[in-house]
Amino acid sequence: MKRNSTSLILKTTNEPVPATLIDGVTRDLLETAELAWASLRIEGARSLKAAGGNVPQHWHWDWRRKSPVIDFLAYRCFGIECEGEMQGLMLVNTTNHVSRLKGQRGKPLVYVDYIETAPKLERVHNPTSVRSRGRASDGSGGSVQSR
Amino acid sequence: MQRMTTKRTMTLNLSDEEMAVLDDLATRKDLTKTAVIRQALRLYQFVDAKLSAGEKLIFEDEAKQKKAELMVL
Repeated sequence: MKRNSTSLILKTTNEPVPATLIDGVTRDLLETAELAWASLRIEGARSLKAAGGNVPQHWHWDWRRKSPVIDFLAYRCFGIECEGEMQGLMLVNTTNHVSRLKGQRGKPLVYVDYIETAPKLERVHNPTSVRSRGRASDGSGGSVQSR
Repeated sequence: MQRMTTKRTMTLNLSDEEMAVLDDLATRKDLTKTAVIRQALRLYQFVDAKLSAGEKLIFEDEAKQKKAELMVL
């Protein structure tokens, strides 16, 4: 597991705050994140349903179920921690997918199998905490494939 | 399993035919030979685990309507 310093933007002040980018998230860290996130997903889903909104499709995920694959060399799991909590997780496959684009056909792709921001950052929880410093994410999670 | 982050060097003895295949793959995939070997190892570990768990690896030719199961030692 490698930890690199980075920063996120604190929404209330729009100022950067220290964060840690983790390359090689362990099963323990996945379990800790899932235990913190699960109840917030349920609470958020109830609020959204009560308001007639749509529940994010990925909210049935349980990151503990994804932990068996992180031991494979073909997978890498990244996380970003800030203020002592996991703010986002991403599981990528670096082996099983190839490009179909003309000029890059057959070359290896990094395939994002799963990506999710912490449920507390979703709009339904009125987040006042952090957002990414780089390119903004819509926070919808889901599986993304580059073709 | 703790993912190793340090790298170790090893000598790899390949036949001319094997080296030719490695050269060809590295050229076609625009990868270094080391990267090709790494990709192969990742794939082999993944496939081996799936087969060991009782799953099958099948190649399908839709045009010819043929399926072939890959058996790996």
